[in-house]
Amino acid sequence: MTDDDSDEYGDVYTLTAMESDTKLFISHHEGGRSTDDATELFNDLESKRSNTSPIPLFTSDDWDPFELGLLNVYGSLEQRPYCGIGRKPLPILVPPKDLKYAQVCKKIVKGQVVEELRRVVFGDAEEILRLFGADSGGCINTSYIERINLTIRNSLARFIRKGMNYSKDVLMHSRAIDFFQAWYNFVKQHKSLRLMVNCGNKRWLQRTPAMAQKLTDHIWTLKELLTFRVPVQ
Amino acid sequence: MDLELDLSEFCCLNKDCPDYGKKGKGNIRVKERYGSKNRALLRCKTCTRCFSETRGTIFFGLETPDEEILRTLAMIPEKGSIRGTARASGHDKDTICRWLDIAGAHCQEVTDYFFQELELGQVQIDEIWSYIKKRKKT
Repeated sequence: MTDDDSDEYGDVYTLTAMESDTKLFISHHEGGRSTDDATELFNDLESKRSNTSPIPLFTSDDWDPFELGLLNVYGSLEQRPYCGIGRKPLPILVPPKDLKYAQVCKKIVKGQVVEELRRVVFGDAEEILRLFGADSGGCINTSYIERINLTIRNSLARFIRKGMNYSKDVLMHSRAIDFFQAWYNFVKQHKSLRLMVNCGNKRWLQRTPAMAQKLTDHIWTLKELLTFRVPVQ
Repeated sequence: MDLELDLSEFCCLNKDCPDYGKKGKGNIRVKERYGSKNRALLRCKTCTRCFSETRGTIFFGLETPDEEILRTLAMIPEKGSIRGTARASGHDKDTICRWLDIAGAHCQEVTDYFFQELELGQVQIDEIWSYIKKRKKT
């Protein structure tokens, strides 16, 4: 990096969020590694969440801005009691009672995972384990989002490591991810979402993440996606 | 382009029109055909404003045949680099970037329209690394 390089050059971290049951790729945000970026991602998620649905259970890897971003979005300011001497304490951010957040911390030595720690940050530990299905062998994991990251790296040429296809422009970078997001949600059929039907010659009913989330009722073609006229609201 | 159009799918796009955004009112008529692709220019009877049949899709104002554009864009999310797609399809790399720009903006609109009032159960979050033009050496 030299001084006459543009400000937008350099590392870009794309934050991704997905629903783990329906594999829906909900939102993404391009930026650095700061709390503001995490807060923007959670604000975007919050604007897409229905009012009737409870606050979802969040899982991520060991990275502090996620925790601070969750507190910024969902937390409320609370005044601590004044103990009598000195100046009055500043109010702190307190998470609400129904906010649930768990982390998977991996300890890596020389490229090998030597230890895996699962940590409940906010919320009741027993309830979170029940939601993950601990009695049937489930545990706190980030497997599905890592799988989407692999799909992104395998689908978009600009995410390939050690190649010449990297992005040269921030705008086209985000446009390509927007295009990928719609393509993944509406066009690409997801193998783990298929249903067994066994009617006639057909054994499986293939589905896309948008169908699993009940947003559409069929697999879209690329033409259908790109000629969809967004209705006036 | 097929000459028979289903006119009930279209609605007036003029914000001051009383029938703005209402489908199936019977106020849309084909005014004329225009351009090399024989597109229909539609006209709203209520407010006498005109708009194209491709308004709101990615094909508005593009001269290349639709199938050609779709075939080219379909290579982008299948690990197609811009220059690789340009060599394979025979279009210029700047043309493909322009199409991808239009398609990305359109896809974002579609995503924003559908992703409202979602019922979320478990949400997983992660970050993925990439870079613009240069890697930052640490």
